[in-house]
Amino acid sequence: MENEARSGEETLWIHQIAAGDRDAFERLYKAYAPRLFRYLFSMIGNAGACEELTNDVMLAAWKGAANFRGESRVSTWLFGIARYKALNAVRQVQPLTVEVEMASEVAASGEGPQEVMQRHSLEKSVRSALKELSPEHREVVELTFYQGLSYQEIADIMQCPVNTVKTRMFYAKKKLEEALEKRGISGDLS
Amino acid sequence: MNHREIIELLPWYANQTLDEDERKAVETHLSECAECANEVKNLNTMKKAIIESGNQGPVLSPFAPNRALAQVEDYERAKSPAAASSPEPEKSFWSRWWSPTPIFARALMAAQVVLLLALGSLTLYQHSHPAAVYTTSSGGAGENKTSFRIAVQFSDSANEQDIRKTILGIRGKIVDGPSALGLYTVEVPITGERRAEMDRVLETLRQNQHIVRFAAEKQ
Repeated sequence: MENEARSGEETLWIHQIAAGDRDAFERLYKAYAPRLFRYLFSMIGNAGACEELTNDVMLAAWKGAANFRGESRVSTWLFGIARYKALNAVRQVQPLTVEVEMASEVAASGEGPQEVMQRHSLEKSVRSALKELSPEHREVVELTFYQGLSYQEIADIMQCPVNTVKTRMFYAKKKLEEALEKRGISGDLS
Repeated sequence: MNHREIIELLPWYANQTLDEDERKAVETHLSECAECANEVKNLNTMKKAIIESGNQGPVLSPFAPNRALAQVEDYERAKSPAAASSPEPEKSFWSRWWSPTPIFARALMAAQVVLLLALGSLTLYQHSHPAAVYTTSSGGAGENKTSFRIAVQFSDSANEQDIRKTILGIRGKIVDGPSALGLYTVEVPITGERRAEMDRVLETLRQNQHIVRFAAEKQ
């Protein structure tokens, strides 16, 4: 119910933006720009470029508000625009590079898993483990856990079938567990 | 739903976006399946770690919202009938030189502006040289404008709060910058008589010790 009310409010903002309402644009910006920035950063990894892209997405929302039919959620619409812009930026500038951390860190350091656990926080390990995922797998993880989107919304944003989203998540999780295991974190995470 | 189908839904059970029927099906299964119940615990921990690791990453700069609003205003100005019929006379010095250009070109222009400032060919003020004050020429198409722009350079010691306070103090908003050379372009609304408003704003800036120099657009 809360999600529905939120979604209705956001759709109203888009209608207000279509009528030239700057306050509604500011509300939308406040609600979405940080999330879009974070999503773009997970795909591109360059804060300056991502800030420009975030504003490009918001400007596209301003320009396209009149054409928003409300057939999808505002979040799906905005993340879809962001994804399109990110992929274009990546194609134009350089291939997406994935920084692969030293896989043999645990063995090379001579520390046991317990010490590694102490040295690295779980968050830090997760952050570096995420970098080992393919861009598609990382994107599904990002949209699910950080952005809190449903599998249907993710399928709409990524323009792929729902089953593809579920399969990607299944393998992303597996890969993430393996990456965490290499960092001395295995089994029960909780 | 079978075990495999339930496992596929668990990430979205953890992020609480399943519909009512799916959620109930998962919960029924969880009460009977220790493996899936443990998987949910792990997913919740992973979700928390991912959110926290994301929160430690870079964030949007505090000037990003103002830049976005400036882009909107530029877009609206460009598509207005007046701009379409006579684009050149309607555009101010700064919007003609500043707004439509890519960011790297703007940085180059910022360097040129500094050179021009040094040569004294623009409206200008420098703290270190009180005699060199701004000049304006009144009249012309600019009389009807509802705002004007100023290029401002802050001292190295000015922090974010100082900059914010200064901008708010003149009711302005940052529409561009900082450029590679540290220049901010600030747009200030005009509600009364143009010349008087500009004088008031420029006087405020002149008194501000955090500003190294500024240049106002010519009227």
